[in-house]
Amino acid sequence: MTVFDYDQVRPSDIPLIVASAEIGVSILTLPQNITKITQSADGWMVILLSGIVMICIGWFTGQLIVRYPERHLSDIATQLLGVWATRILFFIYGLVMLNYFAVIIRLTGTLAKMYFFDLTPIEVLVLIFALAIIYCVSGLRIAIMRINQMFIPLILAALAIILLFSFEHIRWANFGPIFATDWRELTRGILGTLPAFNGGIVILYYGFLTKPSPLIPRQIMYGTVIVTAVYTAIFICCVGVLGLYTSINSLFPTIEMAKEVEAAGGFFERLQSILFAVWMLAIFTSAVFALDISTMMMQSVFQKMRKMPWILLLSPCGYFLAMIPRNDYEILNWSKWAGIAMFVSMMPLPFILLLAHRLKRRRATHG
Amino acid sequence: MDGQSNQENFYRGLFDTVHQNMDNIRKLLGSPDDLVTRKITIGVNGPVCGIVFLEELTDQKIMNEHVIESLQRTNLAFSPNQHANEILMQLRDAVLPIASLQNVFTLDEVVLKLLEGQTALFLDGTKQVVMLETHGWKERGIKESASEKVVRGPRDGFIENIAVNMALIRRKLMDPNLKTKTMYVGKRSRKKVAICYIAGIAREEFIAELDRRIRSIVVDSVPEAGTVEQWIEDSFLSPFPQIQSTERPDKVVSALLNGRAAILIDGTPFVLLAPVTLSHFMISAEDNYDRWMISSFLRLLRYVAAFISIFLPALYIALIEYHHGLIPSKLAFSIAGTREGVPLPAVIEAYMMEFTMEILREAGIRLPAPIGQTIGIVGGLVIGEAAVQAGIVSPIMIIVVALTAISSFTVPSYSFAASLRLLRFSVMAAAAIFGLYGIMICFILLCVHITNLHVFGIPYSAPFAPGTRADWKSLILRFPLTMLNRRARLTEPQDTIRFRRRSNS
Amino acid sequence: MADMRRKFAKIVVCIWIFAGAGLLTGCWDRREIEDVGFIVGIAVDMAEEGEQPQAADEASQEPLAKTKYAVTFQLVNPGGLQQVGRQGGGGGRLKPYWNIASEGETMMEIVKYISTRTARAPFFEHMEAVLFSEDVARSENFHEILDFFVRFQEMRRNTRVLVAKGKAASVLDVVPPGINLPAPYINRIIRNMEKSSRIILESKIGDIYEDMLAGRSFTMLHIEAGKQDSKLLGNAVFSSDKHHMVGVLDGELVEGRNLIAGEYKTGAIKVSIDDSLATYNIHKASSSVSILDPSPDHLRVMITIKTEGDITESFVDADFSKPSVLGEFEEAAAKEVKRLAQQTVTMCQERLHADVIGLGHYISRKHPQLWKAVQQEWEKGRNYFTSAEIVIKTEASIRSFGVINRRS
Repeated sequence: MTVFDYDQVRPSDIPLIVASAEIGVSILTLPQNITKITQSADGWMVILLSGIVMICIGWFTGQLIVRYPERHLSDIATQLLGVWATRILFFIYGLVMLNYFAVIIRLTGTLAKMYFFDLTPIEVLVLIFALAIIYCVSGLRIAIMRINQMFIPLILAALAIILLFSFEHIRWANFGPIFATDWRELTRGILGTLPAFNGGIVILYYGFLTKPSPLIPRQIMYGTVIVTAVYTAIFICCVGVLGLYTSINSLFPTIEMAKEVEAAGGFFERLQSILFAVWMLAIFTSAVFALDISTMMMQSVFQKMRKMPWILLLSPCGYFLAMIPRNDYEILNWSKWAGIAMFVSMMPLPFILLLAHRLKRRRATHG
Repeated sequence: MDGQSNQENFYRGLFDTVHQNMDNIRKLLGSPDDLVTRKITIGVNGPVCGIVFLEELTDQKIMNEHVIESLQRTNLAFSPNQHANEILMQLRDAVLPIASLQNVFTLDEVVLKLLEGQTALFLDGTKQVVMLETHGWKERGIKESASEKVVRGPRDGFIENIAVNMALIRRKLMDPNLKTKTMYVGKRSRKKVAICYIAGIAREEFIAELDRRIRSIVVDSVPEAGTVEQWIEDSFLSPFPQIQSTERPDKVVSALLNGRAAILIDGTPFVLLAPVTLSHFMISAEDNYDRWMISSFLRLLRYVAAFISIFLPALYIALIEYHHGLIPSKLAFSIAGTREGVPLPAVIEAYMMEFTMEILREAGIRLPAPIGQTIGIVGGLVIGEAAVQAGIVSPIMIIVVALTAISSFTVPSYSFAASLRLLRFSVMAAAAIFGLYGIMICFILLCVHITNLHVFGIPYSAPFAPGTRADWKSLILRFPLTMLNRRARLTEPQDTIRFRRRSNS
Repeated sequence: MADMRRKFAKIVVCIWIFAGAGLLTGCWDRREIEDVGFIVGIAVDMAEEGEQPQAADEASQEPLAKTKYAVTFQLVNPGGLQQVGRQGGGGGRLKPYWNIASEGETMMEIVKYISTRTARAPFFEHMEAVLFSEDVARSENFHEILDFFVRFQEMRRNTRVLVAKGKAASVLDVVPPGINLPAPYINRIIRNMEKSSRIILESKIGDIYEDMLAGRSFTMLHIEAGKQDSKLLGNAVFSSDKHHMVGVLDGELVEGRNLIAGEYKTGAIKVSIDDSLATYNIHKASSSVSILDPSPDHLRVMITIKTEGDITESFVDADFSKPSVLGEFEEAAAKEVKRLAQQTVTMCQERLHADVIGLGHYISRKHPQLWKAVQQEWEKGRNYFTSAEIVIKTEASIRSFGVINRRS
């Protein structure tokens, strides 16, 4: 019995949700990914350019949501593309998201084991994280939106603290020759960085929860702007504090940077724990989106089952999938390909739908 | 007669004659000792009327001087053919100096009102009965509430009488839009329950829903506000309270002005406020009376204190048992040194000390005042000190426990602090198994629960997510009063403007 | 419907109970803090020939590599630390630390041997200093032993590494009066050095790792253990080629290096003027590099060092009010600064063949094309660094000369 109007996401909340969905796994691996490709400290340019690309994609997503207010994405897609195309597409998406969910939980377990635990089996760590995610996904969808809104200020505040304190350790000499990378490496860098902004697509799937408003495209863009700024800052601090070659060679440069940072004359020696805590929050939100969208997709393909049985069906699959890789290298490789798969398969959707929308309109006016 | 349903021995209606009515009532109530039935001759030689009342529930002074005396001494003349109803009307209008009286026509109403302390006046020849408002019983004086003390602010608190409580609210809020809806709850207790709200601010649908929920309570008795609270709350499985209770009229008034509703229940000084979210539990009454800097600071302090009271023992366990690298070096050596001879692992130590603290707290409530206060804090520390000397616990543990206990007292609401206490133990268990990872998972689970919990449709996490500027300005921080020109949008009030910022002249 | 939901809820509750029961059997990683063996210092020496192995399993191990190291670990004894804090409590005096040594071929092997002998499991996250003896530093396989300190998860990037003159383990025994633990004491000297006059560029393992990856030469602090205190001598220089020690920059050479690197914070140098001496106290020093001739084969580089300071002591009784006198002093100071810098440059170029003055780093940043050409053979092969001509230009300006003018 809802008396008050809290069922919908307000436009002012959208930047927070988009930012929270995008900030996830990447804050730890981003510096290494970029510097490995560009082999120089120009990665910040790569991030800015990728961010711009993502902002444009976000604008298109917003346009689509504005044109079909309060309608579920499967409705829109069925109307524009037909039942079977939608079903096939969404089935693929469901699998892709489930894969991403498995990647995330495994990565969390790996990191926890690496930095916190010694003997605890990784299966247990992954399991309890997965259970927490399942608990969240079995709640309301609008609650998932709220969780993101709640967590993002904490994440941003903690990152701000760490970056501020690392500022004094930055050696500007580490930035080497500026603008020395050629366009080929830059392009490869951009292609490698775009999956870091994967969360931006998420808002499309929750378009039905937003209050109709013309401000939506702009708000989605603001979300990505925040994330671009954050990523750039992290990159600059990492390379500045650690140095270029260390960034290329460390698996998780952000954690190494946080370990290095000491604050307040040595009392707050261990800021790395703050980083890990907020990273868990960030990655939790990403994983929740992954599982929830996967469930949503499967629900729309097979109309019969309700949400809860799907969750119970998909999550063990995700868990077993997560347990397949055997070592760190396989995990990182897999996460790279999962990110690429997600980006390549899901990013074109707003364009396809907008195109179909345009064609339909033209056919309607001409026919 | 006692113990059996007295539905067979009496007639469920009113009679014409005084004698029959009084007998009927006596049978209905089972001839209690304090039921007084008297026949009084009106005036010198007027008709005979009967008055029935429950002695302890009525004010004897009013009975004697105003009812009986005025009836017996009246100069009114009655003609013999006057209909009884006319006589009653004359009595009402000209004889009885009672401010509030009314005519009733059913036995049920007569008995109910009798039980409320009113007096029933019967007259031969009519089935109409006049009920006189004569209640008067011993009750507490208006004092400051023991559980919600403030440094600055009014010191009146509610008492057990709903009429007095209503009066206290009205005195602070002389708005004609202040409306009340009264109803009786409880099959046997028939407690008067009133919903107060300000029409034009509170949403009508919300009031209707609240009304529906209270009316749907079908129980024997509603002894305290807590019973009503537990019956109308949204989720009984959640550790968090979903309705706020308070003893302070100023808190009620401020809530009403924000579009919330107050539920007053006869017989208890605790008034319920609905709807409520997380931030409301962190607001103390005097936040609005002090200046904005100190108020904002204190509110943030309370949030930190709430966090400490849930997570500090768990953090202690996690850092001591799992993540030794996360403590600064000198501190780590110092802690390791003080824990040298301690026989128990940190987990057991923490649980033991926390349980001891809970026992002390619970015991301290029941002890008489002077001993109670001493045992409470000092006893805890003395016992702790002795335990350290004996080498059972480490001194750091004592500090952690003391800090946690003190922090939990910072939270203004007792029921919320109680839920924090419960959560603390589960987070400690999570920390004992998984260290910092477990604490983070617990934090996440807590946040998920809070966002999923709805109170009358408002999410429990409301001012945090989703939040508006107006909410943040007045509910979470406290901005200067000049900036609080709009009401918090939390309860979607109809009238959002508190004052207009631009002056007209 | 409601029945199904109830059954469903029961299943979920069962899952949670079983999961909980399963998890409660865990707590795999629980370790009480008093059972942790905090290691604050490590000293690596070469194992002496013919020493008796100290544990049975050491003898049965077939040597795979050739070099054997003798490593000393300094474990903190927290109980002893407490007693010292309480002014030496009653009963037996516990030493606040315990140096335990063992031998082996890899670091992890030695750690393993150590843990069989200590009551507490070794824990490295609070390490303050790592010391290598000169023998170890000069050996060809030095970079192998460094691997443990970068790869192992418990190591931190800002642990300080030093080279010890003589036996490294002896530095871990130096306890000056009033200090509890030797390893943090070393750390403290390094930190205090920043405030004292002669600053020596410090060395953290993270920075060294970065230099190793970049193929640059690097330095470590050079320390010597005395009876009651330890002395920081200067820098031990490591080549970029094999990452082993090739020499030292001690004494005046340190000053020269600081001047070139622009890290000179404050210090006094002795200036000779008119066959006598004066003291020039430097407040600010900055240096800049410019390339005069960028061809790799005849590289000409000019390093300009500008200093600003005061005359705090003068054996020459000069009349400072005359500008010519001041000019003379400035010239003399500039000459002295140039001499110091030149000394260091010569040492680096000719004796050490190691670019620790930052020239290569500068070129890689500002002239990437040139750097691409010379990078491979900067310090080896064609030795572009050694064959480069480095011209040093110095300017010294004197701000004040104390509170008096003439002395007599």
